[in-house]
Amino acid sequence: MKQTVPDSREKYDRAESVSYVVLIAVSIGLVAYIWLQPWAYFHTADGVSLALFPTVFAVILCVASIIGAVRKAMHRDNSSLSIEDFDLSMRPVVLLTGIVLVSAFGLWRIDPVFNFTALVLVVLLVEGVRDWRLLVGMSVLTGATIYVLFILILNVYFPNVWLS
Amino acid sequence: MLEALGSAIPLAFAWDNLLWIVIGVVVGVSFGAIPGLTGIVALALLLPFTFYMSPVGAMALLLGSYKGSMFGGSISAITFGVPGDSPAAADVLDGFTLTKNGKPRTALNTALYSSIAGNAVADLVVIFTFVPLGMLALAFGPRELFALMFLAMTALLVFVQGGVLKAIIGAMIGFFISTIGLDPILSRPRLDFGITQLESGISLVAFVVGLFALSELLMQFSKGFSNKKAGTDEEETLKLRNIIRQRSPDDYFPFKKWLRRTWRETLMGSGIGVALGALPGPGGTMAAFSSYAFASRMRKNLGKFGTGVPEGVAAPEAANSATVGPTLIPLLAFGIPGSPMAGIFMGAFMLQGIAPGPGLFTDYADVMVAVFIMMLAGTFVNLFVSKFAMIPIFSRLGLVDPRILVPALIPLLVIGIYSINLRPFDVVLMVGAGLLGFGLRRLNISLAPTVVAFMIGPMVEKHFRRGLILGAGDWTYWFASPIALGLYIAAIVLAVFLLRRKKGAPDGMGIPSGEGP
Repeated sequence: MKQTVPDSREKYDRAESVSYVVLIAVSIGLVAYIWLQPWAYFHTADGVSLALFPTVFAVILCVASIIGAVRKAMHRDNSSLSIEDFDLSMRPVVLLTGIVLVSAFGLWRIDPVFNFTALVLVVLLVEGVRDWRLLVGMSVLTGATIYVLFILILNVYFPNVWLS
Repeated sequence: MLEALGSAIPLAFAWDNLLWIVIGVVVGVSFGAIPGLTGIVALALLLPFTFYMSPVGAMALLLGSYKGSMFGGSISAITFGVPGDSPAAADVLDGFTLTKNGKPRTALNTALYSSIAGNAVADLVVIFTFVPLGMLALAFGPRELFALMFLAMTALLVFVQGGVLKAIIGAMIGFFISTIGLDPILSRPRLDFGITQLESGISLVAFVVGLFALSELLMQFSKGFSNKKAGTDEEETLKLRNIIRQRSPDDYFPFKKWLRRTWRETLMGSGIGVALGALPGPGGTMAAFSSYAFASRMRKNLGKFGTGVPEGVAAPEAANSATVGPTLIPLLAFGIPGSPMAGIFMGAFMLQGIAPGPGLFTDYADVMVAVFIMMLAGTFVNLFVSKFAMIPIFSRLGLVDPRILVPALIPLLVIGIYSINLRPFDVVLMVGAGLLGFGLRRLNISLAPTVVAFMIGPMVEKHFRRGLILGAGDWTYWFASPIALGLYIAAIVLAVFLLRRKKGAPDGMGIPSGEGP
């Protein structure tokens, strides 16, 4: 009976191929961006200058990505990766968005102590923690640590801070 | 110097100077252990206070803080997976894995003993050989330093898991990001994409913390913290209480066991740390990762690094800590600070009205001998403070369910990064680096080449371009130095030998991608 490749393996192989294509596109884009900059060396013709090193690194990145993509296509890339660990979860993106939003409000608008206390509470709730002692304890402890360490002891300046 | 010993000993063992060492160690370990804060922040905070102290007291405080922060950074790396500074990133690979396997005390004890050993070896080497070591450092010009970095990167790229190609991709990404900011020779901004805050480049701490720490938190978050079997909330609350009172019987790693298992890696790491620490530039990060890479190739360690073995903690920790004393050699011998930390020590000397350089050991012989004694004393104070205070606390924290701990770490990371330069943009950089690190982990591209390339990229370019200027178009200039030629040959031999060995070896050898088991 003919063996078929499991679905998760196919998904993974496609994803790795896509990532190589993205790397190639990014490196070509970088080389093009660098080439189009008005570097002084086009006029002074002194060879090694501002443009060289970024371009060199971008070109090597492009070449390595192309080789990787070609080897993948020829099934010669045998890096050991976990197939099960291919998770398209959006949770990290949500967490990062939360960090950026809370940082924006916490550092520039209201108060980092309250906003980060709230962030800790929200993340614990998202993780399924329901014991009020853990929720309140960890949130308040984090807020208190921020206040004592950064505001009282280190005197870090936060614009528009209520507590300082 | 021997004549000055008689007057230096009462200076060194004055009760107030010993107290300053203890205070310095406590501050240094604490700052290093808190994610987002670093040893250099501790040094910078303590520097103004040294104005009111005696020269020996000032050095005692700063040396204690420097030594403490080396181990403190490892505490954070091992306990939370968040490196306290960039050299401690190498400790995450096996140290944090040991914590996830329920053995934080094993990892912390290994790191402490190796740190002390590396420190002590380096201190003795500095005391007895600082002049010839300083002369050796002077012999390294642009082509020798470029060749050394070529060797270090070659070793790293060959050792890393996932294949050389993926390592090259990771390194090129790191090198490219390092080119953003000011050109190292012409000091003109480049590749800032029109963003003013990028004209001065990417903040090192924000990048490293984001790449390693934030990406690790994101990985755990995306997997739903499946690494640990979480109980119900009530079980976790009870476990938190029990953690304070007891520890796992499997998590036992006494001194004798450390000595028996890791003496080779510790000795090798100490040697690498002393050699690289004396040279201006390369520093703790390169020493730590190089040591890890070489240790992973030892016959007894083949295939084990990355799975959570004490040897994987001992090697980088010894190397990192062994750079402490040698980092000060260019400063003490020639008045040239070779690192930001050495720069702060230079500031402390200036505040005391002492000009570091060749005249130091003739005009202030008793002070300098006392400082050397302080260096050794600081190592042992670090041992006791960390062993009996910091490790018991942090080894218990490492057993806490990450879904409870991780949300509390995130604000500390964000505010810690912001507090370094008081720039909200650094937080954005950290988030961007975190996303990059998350993506690289997903692709099983090791983070080690990326971070090392980012760190040494400006130096590589600076030394190469200086060499080109000095060589004036003569390509033989690069190979005319026996030191440089020897380093290139060593790099080629190493690469060929190890790549051939790797072909016949089991899967999973070398520096892991950072995902862990």
